Amino acid sequence: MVTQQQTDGNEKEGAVVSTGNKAGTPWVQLIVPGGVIAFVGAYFLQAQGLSFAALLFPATIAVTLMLISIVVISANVRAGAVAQKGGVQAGAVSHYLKAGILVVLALAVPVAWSTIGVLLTLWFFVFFVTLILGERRLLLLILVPTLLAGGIVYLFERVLRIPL
Amino acid sequence: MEYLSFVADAISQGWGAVAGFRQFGLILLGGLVGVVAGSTPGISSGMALAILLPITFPMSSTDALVFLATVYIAVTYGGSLTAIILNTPGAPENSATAFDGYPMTQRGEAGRALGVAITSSFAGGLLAYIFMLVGMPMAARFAAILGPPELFLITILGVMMLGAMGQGSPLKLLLSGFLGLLIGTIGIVPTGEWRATFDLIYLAEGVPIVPAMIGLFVFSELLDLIRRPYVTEAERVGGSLGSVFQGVRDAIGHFGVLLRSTGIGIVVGLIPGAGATLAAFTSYGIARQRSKNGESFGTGNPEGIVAAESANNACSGGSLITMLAFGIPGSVATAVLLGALTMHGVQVGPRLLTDPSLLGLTYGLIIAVILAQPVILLNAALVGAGLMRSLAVPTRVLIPILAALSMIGSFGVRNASFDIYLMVAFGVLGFVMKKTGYSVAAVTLGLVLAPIADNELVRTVQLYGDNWYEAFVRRPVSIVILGLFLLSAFATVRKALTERRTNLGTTQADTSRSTYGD
Repeated sequence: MVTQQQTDGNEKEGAVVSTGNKAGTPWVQLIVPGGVIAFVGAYFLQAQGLSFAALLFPATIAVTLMLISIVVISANVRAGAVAQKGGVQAGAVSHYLKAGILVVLALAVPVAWSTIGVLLTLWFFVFFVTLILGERRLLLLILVPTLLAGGIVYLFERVLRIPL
Repeated sequence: MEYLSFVADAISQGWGAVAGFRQFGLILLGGLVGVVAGSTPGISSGMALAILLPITFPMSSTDALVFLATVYIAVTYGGSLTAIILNTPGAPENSATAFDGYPMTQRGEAGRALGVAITSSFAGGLLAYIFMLVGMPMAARFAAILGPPELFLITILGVMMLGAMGQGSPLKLLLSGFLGLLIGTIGIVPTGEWRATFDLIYLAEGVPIVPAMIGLFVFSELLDLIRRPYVTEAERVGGSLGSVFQGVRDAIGHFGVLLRSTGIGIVVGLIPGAGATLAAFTSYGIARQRSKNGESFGTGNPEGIVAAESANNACSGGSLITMLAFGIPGSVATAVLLGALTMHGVQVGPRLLTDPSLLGLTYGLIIAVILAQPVILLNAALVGAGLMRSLAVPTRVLIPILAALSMIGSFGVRNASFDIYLMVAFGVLGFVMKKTGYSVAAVTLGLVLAPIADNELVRTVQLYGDNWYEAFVRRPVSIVILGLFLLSAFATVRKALTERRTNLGTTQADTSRSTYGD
C-alpha cells in the first residue's frame, strides 16, 4: 500500500515511508545522474585542449557515464509518469538538519584551526556536535571533547611527530 | 629438483634473517598496531603505513620491512572488523565483507560474523604466504606476460564486473564505478599535462585517496548514523565468545569456498594493479553465483564473508610478489611499502628473487608475515570483542569522536586543510549516493583503479602509435580478457533488463492498489 506516505516532512523519527521504489522517488533519483552530467561538463570545460593520449581515457569513461546517466534519468522519468506518488525512504527533517549542521561545523574546522589552534578547534567541534546530537550530561559534554582533543594532539604531535 | 633446492635455501636464509627477539617483538607490535589501525574507521592500510613509515628510519631494512609488512596485513584483518560492526570498511578491500557482515550485526550476530571473518582471513593469508614461499619465482614469470593493453583491460574489467555481480541495480553500480574512474583521472597525466584540476594545486597529484575514502565510507555513514541513537541496540549485539567460535566453525564449514576464494585472491593479487578490492568483489560474486543460497547474499550470509575475507587476505600475498618482482604496487598500501623499500635502499625487481645476497630479505619478509598470522588472529579477536562493546556507545558520543578522527586523518596525510574540505565533500556525495541506492564502494574502486588504467592506456598509445587499438586483439591473453569483458557487459545488460521488468511490475501493482484503495 502507498497510503502511509507523508509528504510534509513531519514523519516520525526513523519512520520508513512506504514506497514502490525503495531507493527513492523518481525526482530524488535524478540528483546523482544529473550531478554526474554536470560534473562531466565541468570536467571537459577544464580538460579541453589536452592531447589525444591525455583525453582518450577520460573521454571513454565520460561517454559511458553520460549514456548510463541518460538511461537512469529516462527510466526514472518514465517511472514518475507511472507512479507519481512514489514514496521515499525518508529520515526525519531533524535528521537532515543535524546532518547539515555537522557538515557546516566540519567545514568551519579548517578556518578556526588557523585562528585559535588545533586543540581549541577540536574541543569546540566535539563539544558542539555532541550537544547538537542531544547529549545534555555536563560531565560528558566536558570530558569527551577534553580527552579527545588532548589525546589526538598528543598522539600526532608528540608520539607520531606529525605537526597539526 | 633444482627449483625446490633453490626455494629451500632461500627459506633457510629468510629464517636466519628474522629469527631474532627483536623481529618477533616487531611482529607483535606491528600486528597489534595494524589491527587497531584497521579497526579504526577511516584509517586505511596506506594511511597507517604512511604514518608509521617515519618511525622505521632508525631500523635496518629487514626490521623495517618486517614491521611494515605485518602492519599491512594486520590492517586488512582490522578493516573487516569495522566493516562488520560499523558498516565502515577500514579499506576498500573490506567493502564486500560489509555486504553480509553488517546485516549479521544488525541481526545481533556480530560475534559470529567476526569469527567467520578472522578465520577466513587467517586461512586465506596463511595459504597465500605458503604459496608465496614456494611459487614466487614461478609466479613472477607468469605476471611478466601481461603488457599495458592487458593491464588496462583488467583494471576496467574490475569495474565492469561490479555491474554484473555487485549487489543492487547494475546501472547504478556501473555509474558509481565509472564516476570513480572519472574522478580518479583528475591530476597530472602520464604525458605531463594538467587535467581537470579546476586550477587547484592540491589536485595536481590527483584526488588524494585517503580523504576521499574517509569521506565516502566514514563521514557519509556518520551523517546517516545521526538518525539512530545507537549503532545497534546493545542487547542485540551477539558478542559472546561462543558466537565467535560459532563463526569459526561456519568458516571451516565452507572449506570449499575458502579454498576457491584463496585461489582467486592469489591469482588476482599476482596481476599487477588489480588489488585486493577486485579480488574480494570477484570472489564474492563467484561465491554468490555458485552458492545454493545465492539469493541470501547481502542479507547476512556467512559464506559471503568467507569469500571476501579469504580472497582479500590471500591477495596481499600475490600483491607482495608483483611489488617485489616488478615494483608495481597493487594498492595504496603496497605503494607506501614500495616507498619504504626505496627509502631503505632496496631496489625492487627480479634481483630480489634471484640474487643470493638479497634472498634473506625477500624470504625473511615472507616468513615474517607467516609468523604474524597467529599473532594478528589473536589481536583481531581481542579488538573485535572490544569493538562489539563499542556498539552500545550512543551515537551522540560516537559521531563527534569519529568525525574528529576523520578530519585529523584526512589532514594528517599531507597537512593540507583542503583535504578536510575534500573529505566532507565526498562524505556528502556518499550520503546522497547511499540514500538513492548507489554504491560508494564502487566509486572507491574506480578511484583506485583510474590512475593505473590511465597509465596503462597512455603506455599502450605510446608503444603502439596510431594502431594502438589493435594492441587489444593482438595477443591471446588480451583476447581472453576482452571475452570476459563482453561477458560481463552482457550479464550487466541482462541483469538490468530483469530488474527493470521486476520494478515496472511492482510499480504498476502498487499504483493500481493505491488507486483502487487496497
